[in-house]
Amino acid sequence: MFLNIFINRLKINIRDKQAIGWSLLFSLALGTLFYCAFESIYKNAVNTVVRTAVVLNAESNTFGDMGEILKTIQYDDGTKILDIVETDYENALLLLENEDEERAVKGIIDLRNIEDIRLVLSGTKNENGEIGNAGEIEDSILSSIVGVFRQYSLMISETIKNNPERLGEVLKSLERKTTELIANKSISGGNKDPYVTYFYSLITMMAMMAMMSGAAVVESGQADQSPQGARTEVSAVNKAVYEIAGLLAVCVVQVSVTMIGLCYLVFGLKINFGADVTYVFLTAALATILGISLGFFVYQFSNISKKARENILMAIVVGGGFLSGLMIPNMRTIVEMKCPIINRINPSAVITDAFYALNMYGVGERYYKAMIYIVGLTVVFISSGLILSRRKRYASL
Amino acid sequence: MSKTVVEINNLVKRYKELIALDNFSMSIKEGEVFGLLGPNGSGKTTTINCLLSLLSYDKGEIKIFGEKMEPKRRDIKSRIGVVSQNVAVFDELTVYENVDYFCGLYIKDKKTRKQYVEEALEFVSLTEFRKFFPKKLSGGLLRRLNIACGIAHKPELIIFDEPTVAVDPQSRNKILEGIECLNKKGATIIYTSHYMEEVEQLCNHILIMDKGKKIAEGSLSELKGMIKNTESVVVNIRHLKDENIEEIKKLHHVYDVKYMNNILTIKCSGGKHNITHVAEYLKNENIDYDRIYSEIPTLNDVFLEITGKQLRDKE
Repeated sequence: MFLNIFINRLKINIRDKQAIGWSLLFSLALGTLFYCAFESIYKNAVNTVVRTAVVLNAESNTFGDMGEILKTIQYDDGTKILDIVETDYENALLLLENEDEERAVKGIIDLRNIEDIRLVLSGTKNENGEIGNAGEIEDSILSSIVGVFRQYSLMISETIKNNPERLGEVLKSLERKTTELIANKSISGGNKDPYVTYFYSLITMMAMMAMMSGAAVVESGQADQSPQGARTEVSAVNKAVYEIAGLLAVCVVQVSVTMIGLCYLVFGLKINFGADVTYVFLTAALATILGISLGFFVYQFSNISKKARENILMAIVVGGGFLSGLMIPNMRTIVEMKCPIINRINPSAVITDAFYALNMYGVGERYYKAMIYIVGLTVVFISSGLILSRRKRYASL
Repeated sequence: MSKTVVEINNLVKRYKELIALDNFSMSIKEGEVFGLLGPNGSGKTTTINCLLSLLSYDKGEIKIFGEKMEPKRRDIKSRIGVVSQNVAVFDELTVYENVDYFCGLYIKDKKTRKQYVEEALEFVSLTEFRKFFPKKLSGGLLRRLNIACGIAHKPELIIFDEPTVAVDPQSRNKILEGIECLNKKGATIIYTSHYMEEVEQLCNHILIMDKGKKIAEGSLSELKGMIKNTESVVVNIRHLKDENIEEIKKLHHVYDVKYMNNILTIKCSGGKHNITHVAEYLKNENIDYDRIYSEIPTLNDVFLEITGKQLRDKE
């Protein structure tokens, strides 16, 4: 019975041209658009060394030797990313304005106030300027590095203000991250291609889009959702068996769709994900299953209208995407400080965190932790969905 | 004596303020073609959904094959087939795959299932369409596929919930013939409809319901025997005086006369030669008429007389 349902649900999903078509079109079209938009930046990004002035004082090294950390950041082949000139702010500005290409710096990283790390780029020429010369890869590299340092300092200062008792814990965690930076697991992948995060976001969105297939399993198996559901419910089949077989079939198809999209990005467009690509595929597969389980769970609440359920799913995807930093890069860190539980239960944040960990630190403790969250959330959504389905009694059809 | 297949006692189902089933009871014997007749919104489909444990109900008891019906009774469900008024098939599966899929929800053995599916397709004359996808089928063929999906596992009790809605006359006849055939093969049938002609043709036991209540129950002849009207004589007359109408009212067995739009309707209770008496009167009075004919009462007349309203909205 299980096999019969699985095989037929597989056929239904494979032949659902609209669902598969949109998922594929989304990944292929958006991937191509991103690629076209960033292609030139991509080519220039390879092993660019950025001559940078760093302004330090005694406060700068409160949480570690910042100048030393910046010097050790390097590409996979060992090339240093930054060519550091440690100097005072006035001299740094002179270097920024210097017309001699050899001596000039592309930007100034001002670490004098650790709570307010500033980046001054060539072309902006003022202390508050961060806008820089749009389109220059050096600006993007510097922005990415400063972004990471800001996240660290924000976490520390917020902890001091709100949870001073957790400071030791946070510092220990940052120390580990800093060590990882120095040990070259580092942001090297991220720096090599600062735009890879857009492609990670694309994979996250593809995974979340799979939720509609999870919803379709519920729709086709419950009497109040479709005529096919009514026919299934009056049959002799165990509801849980039906739903598990249906979910399995959906997972096979949707994970395949995600893999095709990812193959196009990796082998077609030759996007360098800056991490072991096997793990990118693994993360994308598990993320897709998480998306399916979310749709399966939300659609169990059939006492609310179909339109409302669709809106809830969209709100989770868009709102969750916003909170996970898919739209504003620092948002995930802010949420982590204010209400960390959201980052644990927000599917987009959990997936983003896994990709972030993979890209920034490679396969390690943080990545495994993120993967455990993905699997954990999937299990919670599916088991809750099955329980809700089992207990369902219809007052009206 | 035949076994009781379905027994419903004092069923009450409320939708907030609305009482959909009001202490409704019915009993169906093995081998019957049981007609559940009533206007739209009378509670037929609610009764069927409660029977199948799809809907929860507020009060009452339902027994199928002598055992209490509950959502988890898959053993009982495996002996029931349902053909709903909505076509419930998957557009992405072919005709054969659809029947095989739904049959597979009951029959585990692949070989047996294959045989059952072939038989079901043959039964509804869809064998030549086996590789077609539902979207390529006409409305009538789609209804037949819907039936094949509901009966392929050879159930003992088959529920047809308005299976001929929006079906052309040719396909409708085919469906009705099929149901008769299933009954002859031993299946007990529950047939819900608001088409009285179908119920008259198919069912050997009929229950008429309205507003969630049983109005009348019995065989077709028993139901017709419940009402005063046994025959209506209808005459197309262009001119008729009031005194003629009064005199016709006085004819033997006549209890009601109406003259509207040049049509004279004379309702009779009992008597075997009512049409002859009316024709003789008109001849004696030198009243010209175009056409005269006799109508025996229908289920609609039964419903009309009991409730004072038409069973089916004029289409």
